[in-house]
Amino acid sequence: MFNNRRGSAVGEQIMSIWFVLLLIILVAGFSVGIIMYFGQSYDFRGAEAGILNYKIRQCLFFNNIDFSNSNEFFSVCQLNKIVLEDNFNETKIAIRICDGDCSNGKVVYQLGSDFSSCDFIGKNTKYMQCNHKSVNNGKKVFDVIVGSNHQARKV
Amino acid sequence: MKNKKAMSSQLMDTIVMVILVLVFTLFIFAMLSHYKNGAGVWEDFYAKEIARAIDMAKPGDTITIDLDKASIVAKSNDYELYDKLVRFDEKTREIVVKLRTNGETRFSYFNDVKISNVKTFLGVPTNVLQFKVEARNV
Repeated sequence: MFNNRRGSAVGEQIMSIWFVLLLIILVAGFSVGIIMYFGQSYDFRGAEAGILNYKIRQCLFFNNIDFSNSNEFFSVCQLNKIVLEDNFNETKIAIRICDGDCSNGKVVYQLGSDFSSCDFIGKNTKYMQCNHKSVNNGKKVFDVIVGSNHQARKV
Repeated sequence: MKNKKAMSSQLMDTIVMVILVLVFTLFIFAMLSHYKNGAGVWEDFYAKEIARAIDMAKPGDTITIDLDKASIVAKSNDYELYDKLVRFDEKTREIVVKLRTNGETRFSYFNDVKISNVKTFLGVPTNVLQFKVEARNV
């Protein structure tokens, strides 16, 4: 009888250890989940690429741009050269404009180089988010690819 | 007598378990609310949404943005300069959102426009930011 009582007390102690361990594992799991969910920044890259692509296509539709002078492209299309070209390493917004299809046409303007990651959208969230569309201005067909990996700067 | 002892020990075990579960639940809720009202998350959101509005704007547009949630988050972070929650850095072409005493979030806009007439209206009925988008080379 006495032995049995001791056995049950030890059993209860072991059970409470497992219960506390279970709570610790749950707390750790929830914490990691919350940090992973809320720690992620608001993803604006896809929308930003879409807006810039639309602006460039609208500009190419209404204007004849001499791409040999990149200043003309930026001033006619009302795009900020300092933000996009000079601060490229910070903004990480890539632009490729082709005369014809970009897969075999001539590249008339390019900012940034890593467009291969555009083919992997959805595979890895760290890759830039791209927007690929074309425009016909009556004389030429331009293919426009814009990719963004622009992140906010926390100071 | 023995029965009473066993019962009180069982009661103690149950109380300890209930306290542990309560502490666990409170910890999870506290963590959730801390992250949900986190200034960093809302600074990031406001900076990017204002950038979206500017990037899509045309010269002559006037943009009005509701800063109600931003004001609540700033207040909970002891930053009560409501007329300075959002400002525009003309040099770097960045939107600067500050909802906490130490630190801020910056995000640049690519539309080549000038931001002018930046005004914050408090309590109309909520806090509102208003600014005008102008052509840069005028």
